Amino acid sequence: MIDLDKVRESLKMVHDPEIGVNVVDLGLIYEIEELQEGRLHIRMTMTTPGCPAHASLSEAVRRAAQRVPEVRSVTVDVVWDPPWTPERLSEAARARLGRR
Amino acid sequence: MDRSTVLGGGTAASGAAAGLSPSFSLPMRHMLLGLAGFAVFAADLLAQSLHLAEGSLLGPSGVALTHLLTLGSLLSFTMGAVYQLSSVAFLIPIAPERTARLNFWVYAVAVGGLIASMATWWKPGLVLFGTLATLTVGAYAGIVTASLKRARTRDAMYRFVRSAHGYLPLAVAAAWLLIVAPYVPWLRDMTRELLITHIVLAAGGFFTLLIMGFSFKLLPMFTLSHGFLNHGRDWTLGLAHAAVWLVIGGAWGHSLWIMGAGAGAALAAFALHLFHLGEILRTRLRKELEPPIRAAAGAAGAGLTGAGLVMVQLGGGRFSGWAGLVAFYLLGWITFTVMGYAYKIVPFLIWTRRYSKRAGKETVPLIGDLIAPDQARPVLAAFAAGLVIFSLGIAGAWRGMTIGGAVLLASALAAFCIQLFGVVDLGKIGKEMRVDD
Repeated sequence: MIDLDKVRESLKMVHDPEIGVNVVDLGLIYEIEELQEGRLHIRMTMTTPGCPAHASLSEAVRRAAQRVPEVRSVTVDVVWDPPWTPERLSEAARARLGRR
Repeated sequence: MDRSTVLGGGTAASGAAAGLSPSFSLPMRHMLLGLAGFAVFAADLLAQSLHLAEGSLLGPSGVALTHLLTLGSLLSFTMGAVYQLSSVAFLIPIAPERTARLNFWVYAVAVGGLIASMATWWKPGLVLFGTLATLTVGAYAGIVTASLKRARTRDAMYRFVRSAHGYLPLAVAAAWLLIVAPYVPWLRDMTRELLITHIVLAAGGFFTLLIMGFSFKLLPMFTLSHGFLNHGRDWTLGLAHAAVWLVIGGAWGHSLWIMGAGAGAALAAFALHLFHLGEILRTRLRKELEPPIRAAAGAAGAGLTGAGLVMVQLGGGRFSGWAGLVAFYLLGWITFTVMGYAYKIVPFLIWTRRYSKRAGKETVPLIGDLIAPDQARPVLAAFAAGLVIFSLGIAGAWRGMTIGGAVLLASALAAFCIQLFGVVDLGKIGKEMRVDD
Protein backbone atom coordinates (compact mmCIF):
# COMPACT_ATOMS: atom_id res chain seq x y z
CA MET A 1 0.00 0.00 0.00
CA ILE A 2 1.47 3.34 -1.05
CA ASP A 3 1.30 6.22 1.39
CA LEU A 4 -0.17 8.88 -0.90
CA ASP A 5 0.74 11.66 1.54
CA LYS A 6 4.36 10.65 1.15
CA VAL A 7 3.98 10.84 -2.61
CA ARG A 8 2.41 14.28 -2.37
CA GLU A 9 5.26 15.39 -0.14
CA SER A 10 7.81 14.01 -2.59
CA LEU A 11 6.16 15.87 -5.46
CA LYS A 12 6.82 19.12 -3.60
CA MET A 13 10.44 18.86 -4.66
CA VAL A 14 9.34 19.46 -8.26
CA HIS A 15 9.27 23.18 -8.95
CA ASP A 16 8.11 25.11 -11.94
CA PRO A 17 11.59 26.31 -12.94
CA GLU A 18 10.36 29.74 -14.00
CA ILE A 19 8.02 30.55 -11.14
CA GLY A 20 9.85 28.73 -8.37
CA VAL A 21 6.69 27.24 -6.86
CA ASN A 22 6.29 23.49 -6.47
CA VAL A 23 3.71 21.63 -8.53
CA VAL A 24 1.59 20.74 -5.50
CA ASP A 25 1.29 24.32 -4.27
CA LEU A 26 0.64 25.46 -7.83
CA GLY A 27 -2.37 23.15 -7.84
CA LEU A 28 -1.15 21.22 -10.86
CA ILE A 29 -1.69 17.80 -9.27
CA TYR A 30 -5.30 16.75 -9.74
CA GLU A 31 -5.27 13.18 -8.54
CA ILE A 32 -2.91 10.59 -7.13
CA GLU A 33 -4.21 7.05 -6.94
CA GLU A 34 -2.83 3.59 -6.48
CA LEU A 35 -4.26 1.48 -9.30
CA GLN A 36 -2.75 -1.78 -8.08
CA GLU A 37 -0.19 -2.71 -5.46
CA GLY A 38 2.81 -0.44 -6.13
CA ARG A 39 1.34 1.03 -9.35
CA LEU A 40 0.70 4.74 -9.10
CA HIS A 41 -1.31 6.93 -11.44
CA ILE A 42 -1.04 10.72 -11.34
CA ARG A 43 -3.33 13.14 -13.16
CA MET A 44 -1.87 16.59 -13.46
CA THR A 45 -2.20 19.72 -15.55
CA MET A 46 -0.17 22.75 -16.58
CA THR A 47 -1.03 26.39 -15.98
CA THR A 48 -1.46 26.78 -19.74
CA PRO A 49 -1.59 24.44 -22.72
CA GLY A 50 1.60 24.63 -24.72
CA CYS A 51 3.65 25.21 -21.58
CA PRO A 52 7.31 24.85 -22.62
CA ALA A 53 8.04 22.97 -19.40
CA HIS A 54 5.31 20.43 -20.15
CA ALA A 55 7.55 17.45 -20.81
CA SER A 56 10.16 18.24 -18.18
CA LEU A 57 7.60 18.86 -15.41
CA SER A 58 5.59 15.70 -16.04
CA GLU A 59 8.79 13.65 -16.18
CA ALA A 60 10.05 15.27 -12.99
CA VAL A 61 6.76 14.40 -11.29
CA ARG A 62 7.18 10.77 -12.35
CA ARG A 63 10.72 10.68 -11.00
CA ALA A 64 9.74 12.34 -7.72
CA ALA A 65 6.91 9.84 -7.18
CA GLN A 66 9.29 6.97 -7.79
CA ARG A 67 11.39 8.15 -4.87
CA VAL A 68 8.74 6.84 -2.49
CA PRO A 69 9.91 3.32 -1.55
CA GLU A 70 6.59 1.47 -2.07
CA VAL A 71 6.17 2.83 -5.60
CA ARG A 72 7.12 0.35 -8.32
CA SER A 73 5.77 2.15 -11.37
CA VAL A 74 4.20 5.50 -12.16
CA THR A 75 2.10 6.77 -15.03
CA VAL A 76 1.53 10.49 -15.40
CA ASP A 77 -1.30 11.89 -17.47
CA VAL A 78 -1.33 15.57 -18.29
CA VAL A 79 -4.93 16.67 -18.75
CA TRP A 80 -6.59 19.95 -19.66
CA ASP A 81 -10.02 19.18 -18.33
CA PRO A 82 -10.77 20.73 -15.94
CA PRO A 83 -8.52 23.64 -16.89
CA TRP A 84 -6.20 25.02 -14.27
CA THR A 85 -7.45 28.17 -12.52
CA PRO A 86 -5.71 30.51 -10.05
CA GLU A 87 -8.08 29.29 -7.32
CA ARG A 88 -5.99 26.12 -7.22
CA LEU A 89 -2.97 28.02 -5.88
CA SER A 90 -2.11 27.32 -2.24
CA GLU A 91 -1.55 30.12 0.24
CA ALA A 92 2.19 29.45 0.06
CA ALA A 93 2.12 29.79 -3.73
CA ARG A 94 0.15 33.03 -3.51
CA ALA A 95 2.69 34.41 -1.08
CA ARG A 96 5.55 33.43 -3.36
CA LEU A 97 3.87 35.13 -6.31
CA GLY A 98 3.37 38.27 -4.25
CA ARG A 99 -0.42 37.78 -3.96
CA ARG A 100 -2.32 37.24 -0.74
CA MET B 1 -16.26 37.09 -25.27
CA ASP B 2 -13.00 35.17 -25.68
CA ARG B 3 -11.02 34.73 -22.55
CA SER B 4 -7.82 32.90 -21.91
CA THR B 5 -9.56 30.32 -19.73
CA VAL B 6 -11.13 28.69 -22.78
CA LEU B 7 -8.74 25.81 -23.14
CA GLY B 8 -8.43 22.65 -25.15
CA GLY B 9 -9.67 19.53 -23.41
CA GLY B 10 -8.98 15.92 -22.79
CA THR B 11 -5.92 13.81 -22.51
CA ALA B 12 -5.42 13.62 -26.26
CA ALA B 13 -3.30 16.73 -26.10
CA SER B 14 -1.41 15.54 -23.07
CA GLY B 15 1.29 13.71 -24.90
CA ALA B 16 1.31 16.20 -27.71
CA ALA B 17 3.74 18.71 -26.28
CA ALA B 18 6.16 16.04 -25.14
CA GLY B 19 8.68 15.14 -27.79
CA LEU B 20 7.62 17.87 -30.20
CA SER B 21 10.35 20.34 -29.32
CA PRO B 22 13.25 20.31 -31.75
CA SER B 23 16.57 19.06 -30.46
CA PHE B 24 18.38 21.58 -28.29
CA SER B 25 21.05 22.39 -30.86
CA LEU B 26 18.64 23.74 -33.51
CA PRO B 27 17.30 26.75 -31.61
CA MET B 28 20.49 27.18 -29.58
CA ARG B 29 22.80 27.44 -32.61
CA HIS B 30 20.61 30.15 -34.11
CA MET B 31 20.45 32.01 -30.82
CA LEU B 32 24.21 31.79 -30.31
CA LEU B 33 24.77 33.16 -33.79
CA GLY B 34 22.32 35.94 -32.93
CA LEU B 35 24.16 36.73 -29.69
CA ALA B 36 27.49 36.74 -31.50
CA GLY B 37 25.87 39.05 -34.06
CA PHE B 38 24.78 41.42 -31.29
CA ALA B 39 28.33 41.46 -29.91
CA VAL B 40 29.87 42.28 -33.31
CA PHE B 41 27.13 44.84 -33.94
CA ALA B 42 27.93 46.52 -30.62
CA ALA B 43 31.64 46.72 -31.52
CA ASP B 44 30.88 48.00 -35.03
CA LEU B 45 28.39 50.55 -33.71
CA LEU B 46 31.04 51.88 -31.39
CA ALA B 47 33.63 51.96 -34.17
CA GLN B 48 31.25 53.68 -36.55
CA SER B 49 29.68 56.16 -34.16
CA LEU B 50 31.82 58.98 -35.59
CA HIS B 51 30.78 58.19 -39.18
CA LEU B 52 27.15 57.82 -38.18
CA ALA B 53 27.28 61.24 -36.58
CA GLU B 54 28.31 62.57 -39.97
CA GLY B 55 25.19 61.07 -41.53
CA SER B 56 26.71 58.12 -43.35
CA LEU B 57 24.00 55.63 -42.43
CA LEU B 58 23.39 54.86 -46.11
CA GLY B 59 27.06 54.34 -46.99
CA PRO B 60 28.49 50.80 -47.28
CA SER B 61 29.54 50.63 -43.65
CA GLY B 62 26.14 51.93 -42.50
CA VAL B 63 24.31 49.37 -44.64
CA ALA B 64 26.58 46.61 -43.31
CA LEU B 65 25.98 47.79 -39.74
CA THR B 66 22.20 47.77 -40.21
CA HIS B 67 22.25 44.24 -41.62
CA LEU B 68 24.58 43.09 -38.88
CA LEU B 69 21.71 44.00 -36.58
CA THR B 70 18.81 42.76 -38.70
CA LEU B 71 20.21 39.64 -40.38
CA GLY B 72 23.18 38.79 -38.18
CA SER B 73 21.52 39.36 -34.81
CA LEU B 74 17.75 39.79 -34.81
CA LEU B 75 16.74 37.36 -37.54
CA SER B 76 19.20 34.72 -36.42
CA PHE B 77 18.05 34.87 -32.80
CA THR B 78 14.42 35.04 -33.86
CA MET B 79 14.73 31.99 -36.10
CA GLY B 80 15.98 29.98 -33.12
CA ALA B 81 13.21 31.28 -30.91
CA VAL B 82 10.57 30.47 -33.55
CA TYR B 83 11.83 26.90 -33.93
CA GLN B 84 11.54 26.47 -30.17
CA LEU B 85 8.32 28.38 -29.54
CA SER B 86 6.31 27.12 -32.51
CA SER B 87 6.54 23.56 -31.31
CA VAL B 88 5.21 24.39 -27.85
CA ALA B 89 2.77 27.13 -28.82
CA PHE B 90 1.14 25.25 -31.68
CA LEU B 91 1.91 21.67 -30.57
CA ILE B 92 3.67 20.87 -33.84
CA PRO B 93 7.06 19.41 -34.70
CA ILE B 94 9.47 21.42 -36.82
CA ALA B 95 9.58 19.50 -40.05
CA PRO B 96 11.84 18.68 -41.65
CA GLU B 97 14.25 19.38 -38.78
CA ARG B 98 17.23 18.03 -40.70
CA THR B 99 16.69 20.62 -43.42
CA ALA B 100 16.41 23.31 -40.75
CA ARG B 101 19.77 22.21 -39.31
CA LEU B 102 21.48 22.30 -42.70
CA ASN B 103 19.86 25.61 -43.49
CA PHE B 104 21.48 27.14 -40.42
CA TRP B 105 24.99 26.63 -41.83
CA VAL B 106 24.04 27.99 -45.23
CA TYR B 107 22.42 30.96 -43.50
CA ALA B 108 25.51 31.63 -41.38
CA VAL B 109 27.79 31.59 -44.46
CA ALA B 110 25.37 33.67 -46.56
CA VAL B 111 24.87 36.34 -43.93
CA GLY B 112 28.57 36.53 -43.06
CA GLY B 113 29.47 36.87 -46.73
CA LEU B 114 26.72 39.36 -47.44
CA ILE B 115 27.63 41.66 -44.56
CA ALA B 116 31.32 41.55 -45.49
CA SER B 117 30.38 42.31 -49.12
CA MET B 118 28.21 45.21 -47.97
CA ALA B 119 31.00 46.66 -45.86
CA THR B 120 33.40 46.63 -48.81
CA TRP B 121 30.67 47.11 -51.45
CA TRP B 122 32.02 44.11 -53.36
CA LYS B 123 29.38 43.75 -56.05
CA PRO B 124 29.93 40.09 -57.04
CA GLY B 125 29.78 39.22 -53.33
CA LEU B 126 26.56 41.19 -52.93
CA VAL B 127 24.93 39.23 -55.76
CA LEU B 128 26.34 35.84 -54.72
CA PHE B 129 25.75 36.05 -50.97
CA GLY B 130 22.58 38.11 -51.42
CA THR B 131 21.12 35.35 -53.59
CA LEU B 132 22.22 32.72 -51.08
CA ALA B 133 20.74 34.72 -48.19
CA THR B 134 17.47 35.13 -50.10
CA LEU B 135 17.28 31.37 -50.68
CA THR B 136 18.18 30.41 -47.12
CA VAL B 137 15.78 32.89 -45.51
CA GLY B 138 13.11 31.69 -47.93
CA ALA B 139 13.89 28.11 -46.92
CA TYR B 140 13.49 29.02 -43.24
CA ALA B 141 10.13 30.67 -43.93
CA GLY B 142 9.10 27.60 -45.93
CA ILE B 143 10.06 25.22 -43.12
CA VAL B 144 8.08 27.20 -40.55
CA THR B 145 5.09 27.63 -42.85
CA ALA B 146 5.04 23.91 -43.67
CA SER B 147 5.31 23.09 -39.95
CA LEU B 148 2.50 25.48 -39.09
CA LYS B 149 0.17 23.67 -41.47
CA ARG B 150 0.00 20.87 -38.92
CA ALA B 151 -1.33 23.15 -36.18
CA ARG B 152 -4.80 22.18 -35.03
CA THR B 153 -5.55 25.38 -33.16
CA ARG B 154 -5.54 28.31 -35.54
CA ASP B 155 -6.12 31.28 -33.31
CA ALA B 156 -5.01 34.91 -33.71
CA MET B 157 -1.47 34.06 -32.59
CA TYR B 158 -1.28 31.49 -35.38
CA ARG B 159 -2.45 34.05 -37.94
CA PHE B 160 0.15 36.57 -36.77
CA VAL B 161 3.01 34.06 -36.97
CA ARG B 162 1.82 32.64 -40.29
CA SER B 163 1.47 36.13 -41.78
CA ALA B 164 4.92 37.12 -40.55
CA HIS B 165 6.42 34.18 -42.38
CA GLY B 166 4.56 35.19 -45.50
CA TYR B 167 6.14 38.63 -45.37
CA LEU B 168 9.69 37.41 -44.76
CA PRO B 169 10.33 35.89 -48.22
CA LEU B 170 8.79 38.99 -49.79
CA ALA B 171 11.14 41.20 -47.76
CA VAL B 172 14.24 39.29 -48.86
CA ALA B 173 12.97 39.17 -52.44
CA ALA B 174 12.71 42.97 -52.36
CA ALA B 175 16.26 43.09 -50.97
CA TRP B 176 17.49 40.84 -53.77
CA LEU B 177 15.85 43.10 -56.35
CA LEU B 178 17.67 46.02 -54.72
CA ILE B 179 20.97 44.18 -55.12
CA VAL B 180 20.41 43.35 -58.79
CA ALA B 181 18.72 46.67 -59.62
CA PRO B 182 21.93 48.29 -60.95
CA TYR B 183 22.16 45.53 -63.60
CA VAL B 184 18.50 45.59 -64.65
CA PRO B 185 17.51 48.66 -66.70
CA TRP B 186 13.84 48.74 -65.66
CA LEU B 187 14.73 48.46 -61.97
CA ARG B 188 17.41 51.13 -61.89
CA ASP B 189 15.03 53.98 -61.16
CA MET B 190 13.06 52.12 -58.54
CA THR B 191 15.63 51.77 -55.80
CA ARG B 192 13.88 54.21 -53.45
CA GLU B 193 10.58 52.34 -53.77
CA LEU B 194 12.31 48.98 -53.42
CA LEU B 195 14.19 50.17 -50.34
CA ILE B 196 10.98 51.32 -48.64
CA THR B 197 9.28 48.06 -49.63
CA HIS B 198 12.15 46.02 -48.22
CA ILE B 199 12.26 47.92 -44.93
CA VAL B 200 8.49 47.89 -44.43
CA LEU B 201 8.11 44.19 -45.30
CA ALA B 202 10.99 43.18 -43.03
CA ALA B 203 10.48 45.47 -40.05
CA GLY B 204 6.73 46.01 -40.29
CA GLY B 205 5.62 42.78 -41.91
CA PHE B 206 7.89 40.12 -40.49
CA PHE B 207 9.33 41.29 -37.18
CA THR B 208 6.33 43.29 -36.02
CA LEU B 209 3.74 40.60 -36.70
CA LEU B 210 5.98 37.89 -35.26
CA ILE B 211 6.64 39.81 -32.05
CA MET B 212 3.01 40.79 -31.64
CA GLY B 213 1.88 37.20 -32.22
CA PHE B 214 4.30 35.53 -29.85
CA SER B 215 3.71 38.20 -27.20
CA PHE B 216 0.29 36.62 -26.74
CA LYS B 217 2.07 33.46 -25.66
CA LEU B 218 5.20 34.72 -23.95
CA LEU B 219 3.81 37.52 -21.84
CA PRO B 220 1.10 35.44 -20.11
CA MET B 221 3.58 32.60 -19.67
CA PHE B 222 6.19 34.67 -17.88
CA THR B 223 3.72 36.68 -15.81
CA LEU B 224 1.36 33.77 -15.14
CA SER B 225 -1.58 35.77 -16.40
CA HIS B 226 -4.97 34.22 -16.43
CA GLY B 227 -8.44 35.19 -17.60
CA PHE B 228 -7.45 38.09 -19.85
CA LEU B 229 -9.47 39.18 -22.86
CA ASN B 230 -8.45 37.73 -26.21
CA HIS B 231 -11.04 39.65 -28.12
CA GLY B 232 -9.97 42.00 -30.93
CA ARG B 233 -6.56 40.56 -31.73
CA ASP B 234 -7.58 40.02 -35.33
CA TRP B 235 -8.28 43.74 -35.55
CA THR B 236 -4.65 44.37 -34.62
CA LEU B 237 -3.58 41.95 -37.32
CA GLY B 238 -5.84 43.57 -39.91
CA LEU B 239 -4.56 47.03 -39.04
CA ALA B 240 -0.96 45.84 -39.24
CA HIS B 241 -1.56 44.30 -42.67
CA ALA B 242 -3.22 47.53 -43.81
CA ALA B 243 -0.27 49.55 -42.50
CA VAL B 244 2.24 47.47 -44.44
CA TRP B 245 0.41 47.65 -47.76
CA LEU B 246 -0.64 51.30 -47.46
CA VAL B 247 2.92 52.45 -46.80
CA ILE B 248 4.23 50.32 -49.67
CA GLY B 249 1.39 51.43 -51.96
CA GLY B 250 2.05 55.05 -51.03
CA ALA B 251 5.75 54.66 -51.79
CA TRP B 252 5.11 53.21 -55.25
CA GLY B 253 2.31 55.68 -55.95
CA HIS B 254 4.42 58.58 -54.65
CA SER B 255 1.65 59.59 -52.28
CA LEU B 256 2.63 60.82 -48.85
CA TRP B 257 -1.09 60.80 -48.03
CA ILE B 258 -1.41 57.06 -48.54
CA MET B 259 1.82 56.47 -46.65
CA GLY B 260 0.45 58.64 -43.85
CA ALA B 261 -2.71 56.52 -43.78
CA GLY B 262 -0.45 53.47 -43.46
CA ALA B 263 1.36 55.06 -40.54
CA GLY B 264 -2.04 55.79 -38.99
CA ALA B 265 -3.02 52.13 -39.34
CA ALA B 266 0.29 51.15 -37.72
CA LEU B 267 -0.40 53.58 -34.89
CA ALA B 268 -3.84 52.04 -34.34
CA ALA B 269 -2.37 48.51 -34.49
CA PHE B 270 0.20 49.38 -31.81
CA ALA B 271 -2.43 51.09 -29.65
CA LEU B 272 -4.61 47.99 -29.81
CA HIS B 273 -1.63 45.75 -29.18
CA LEU B 274 -0.69 47.79 -26.12
CA PHE B 275 -4.27 47.44 -24.90
CA HIS B 276 -3.97 43.66 -25.18
CA LEU B 277 -0.59 43.63 -23.44
CA GLY B 278 -2.06 45.80 -20.69
CA GLU B 279 -4.95 43.38 -20.35
CA ILE B 280 -2.53 40.46 -19.97
CA LEU B 281 -0.49 42.34 -17.36
CA ARG B 282 -3.62 43.39 -15.48
CA THR B 283 -4.58 39.77 -14.93
CA ARG B 284 -1.11 38.51 -14.01
CA LEU B 285 -0.66 36.38 -10.94
CA ARG B 286 3.02 37.24 -10.51
CA LYS B 287 2.84 40.58 -8.82
CA GLU B 288 6.40 41.66 -9.54
CA LEU B 289 7.09 42.55 -13.13
CA GLU B 290 10.64 41.50 -13.92
CA PRO B 291 12.83 43.97 -15.87
CA PRO B 292 13.07 41.76 -19.02
CA ILE B 293 9.29 41.46 -19.17
CA ARG B 294 8.87 45.16 -18.46
CA ALA B 295 11.23 45.86 -21.38
CA ALA B 296 9.54 43.42 -23.75
CA ALA B 297 6.11 44.86 -23.01
CA GLY B 298 7.30 48.47 -22.92
CA ALA B 299 9.00 48.11 -26.30
CA ALA B 300 5.56 48.21 -27.91
CA GLY B 301 5.46 51.81 -26.71
CA ALA B 302 8.49 52.50 -28.91
CA GLY B 303 6.64 50.97 -31.85
CA LEU B 304 3.66 53.19 -31.13
CA THR B 305 5.90 56.25 -30.85
CA GLY B 306 7.70 55.38 -34.08
CA ALA B 307 4.45 54.95 -36.00
CA GLY B 308 3.12 58.19 -34.52
CA LEU B 309 6.21 60.16 -35.50
CA VAL B 310 6.03 58.87 -39.07
CA MET B 311 2.37 59.85 -39.26
CA VAL B 312 3.04 63.33 -37.92
CA GLN B 313 5.87 63.82 -40.43
CA LEU B 314 3.87 62.57 -43.39
CA GLY B 315 0.84 64.59 -42.31
CA GLY B 316 3.06 67.64 -42.58
CA GLY B 317 3.82 66.72 -46.20
CA ARG B 318 7.44 65.73 -45.63
CA PHE B 319 9.48 62.80 -44.52
CA SER B 320 12.85 63.93 -43.28
CA GLY B 321 14.86 62.22 -40.57
CA TRP B 322 13.54 58.83 -41.64
CA ALA B 323 16.85 57.12 -40.95
CA GLY B 324 16.55 58.12 -37.30
CA LEU B 325 13.00 56.80 -37.22
CA VAL B 326 14.00 53.48 -38.78
CA ALA B 327 16.82 53.21 -36.24
CA PHE B 328 14.39 54.01 -33.43
CA TYR B 329 11.90 51.40 -34.66
CA LEU B 330 14.52 48.69 -35.19
CA LEU B 331 16.27 49.28 -31.90
CA GLY B 332 13.39 50.44 -29.73
CA TRP B 333 10.63 48.08 -30.78
CA ILE B 334 12.28 45.05 -32.31
CA THR B 335 15.68 44.83 -30.60
CA PHE B 336 14.41 45.85 -27.17
CA THR B 337 11.67 43.20 -27.31
CA VAL B 338 14.11 40.53 -28.45
CA MET B 339 16.54 41.48 -25.67
CA GLY B 340 13.80 41.31 -23.05
CA TYR B 341 12.57 37.89 -24.10
CA ALA B 342 16.12 36.63 -24.68
CA TYR B 343 16.76 37.06 -20.95
CA LYS B 344 13.96 34.55 -20.38
CA ILE B 345 14.25 32.18 -23.36
CA VAL B 346 18.00 31.48 -23.32
CA PRO B 347 18.13 30.54 -19.59
CA PHE B 348 15.03 28.39 -20.06
CA LEU B 349 16.67 26.43 -22.87
CA ILE B 350 19.86 26.00 -20.85
CA TRP B 351 17.89 24.90 -17.78
CA THR B 352 15.98 22.35 -19.83
CA ARG B 353 19.19 20.94 -21.31
CA ARG B 354 21.24 20.83 -18.12
CA TYR B 355 18.83 20.34 -15.26
CA SER B 356 15.41 19.08 -16.39
CA LYS B 357 16.50 15.43 -16.41
CA ARG B 358 17.63 15.73 -12.80
CA ALA B 359 14.48 17.49 -11.59
CA GLY B 360 12.41 15.22 -9.39
CA LYS B 361 15.47 13.18 -8.41
CA GLU B 362 17.40 15.89 -6.65
CA THR B 363 17.24 19.60 -5.91
CA VAL B 364 18.06 21.53 -9.07
CA PRO B 365 18.54 25.26 -9.63
CA LEU B 366 15.67 27.38 -10.84
CA ILE B 367 15.91 29.44 -14.00
CA GLY B 368 16.29 32.54 -11.86
CA ASP B 369 19.41 30.98 -10.34
CA LEU B 370 21.09 30.90 -13.76
CA ILE B 371 20.63 34.63 -14.14
CA ALA B 372 18.67 36.79 -11.74
CA PRO B 373 16.12 38.89 -13.68
CA ASP B 374 17.29 41.99 -11.80
CA GLN B 375 20.71 41.69 -13.44
CA ALA B 376 19.04 42.79 -16.66
CA ARG B 377 17.78 46.04 -15.14
CA PRO B 378 20.86 48.29 -15.63
CA VAL B 379 21.53 46.82 -19.07
CA LEU B 380 18.03 47.45 -20.32
CA ALA B 381 17.90 50.89 -18.72
CA ALA B 382 21.17 51.87 -20.42
CA PHE B 383 19.88 50.55 -23.73
CA ALA B 384 16.65 52.54 -23.42
CA ALA B 385 18.54 55.73 -22.61
CA GLY B 386 21.00 55.10 -25.46
CA LEU B 387 18.13 54.48 -27.86
CA VAL B 388 16.49 57.83 -27.21
CA ILE B 389 19.76 59.78 -27.36
CA PHE B 390 21.01 57.96 -30.47
CA SER B 391 17.74 58.29 -32.41
CA LEU B 392 17.48 61.99 -31.62
CA GLY B 393 21.11 62.43 -32.63
CA ILE B 394 20.62 60.66 -35.96
CA ALA B 395 17.33 62.44 -36.73
CA GLY B 396 18.70 65.87 -35.88
CA ALA B 397 22.24 65.20 -37.16
CA TRP B 398 23.60 66.13 -33.73
CA ARG B 399 27.09 64.72 -33.52
CA GLY B 400 27.55 64.60 -29.74
CA MET B 401 24.19 62.96 -29.13
CA THR B 402 24.72 60.38 -31.86
CA ILE B 403 28.10 59.38 -30.47
CA GLY B 404 26.92 59.39 -26.85
CA GLY B 405 23.83 57.35 -27.74
CA ALA B 406 25.88 54.88 -29.77
CA VAL B 407 28.31 54.39 -26.88
CA LEU B 408 25.45 53.72 -24.48
CA LEU B 409 23.73 51.32 -26.89
CA ALA B 410 26.95 49.46 -27.63
CA SER B 411 27.83 49.17 -23.94
CA ALA B 412 24.38 47.86 -23.07
CA LEU B 413 24.48 45.32 -25.89
CA ALA B 414 27.96 44.19 -24.87
CA ALA B 415 26.78 43.69 -21.28
CA PHE B 416 23.71 41.83 -22.57
CA CYS B 417 25.92 39.46 -24.58
CA ILE B 418 28.35 38.92 -21.69
CA GLN B 419 25.47 38.06 -19.36
CA LEU B 420 23.82 35.61 -21.74
CA PHE B 421 27.10 34.02 -22.84
CA GLY B 422 27.72 33.55 -19.12
CA VAL B 423 24.44 31.65 -18.80
CA VAL B 424 25.20 29.59 -21.90
CA ASP B 425 28.75 28.80 -20.70
CA LEU B 426 30.74 28.63 -23.91
CA GLY B 427 33.01 25.96 -22.42
CA LYS B 428 30.12 23.47 -22.25
CA ILE B 429 27.71 24.44 -24.97
CA GLY B 430 29.66 23.17 -27.99
CA LYS B 431 29.84 19.64 -26.65
CA GLU B 432 26.19 19.69 -25.60
CA MET B 433 25.09 20.72 -29.09
CA ARG B 434 27.28 18.11 -30.77
CA VAL B 435 25.77 15.41 -28.54
CA ASP B 436 22.30 16.51 -29.66
CA ASP B 437 23.15 16.53 -33.36
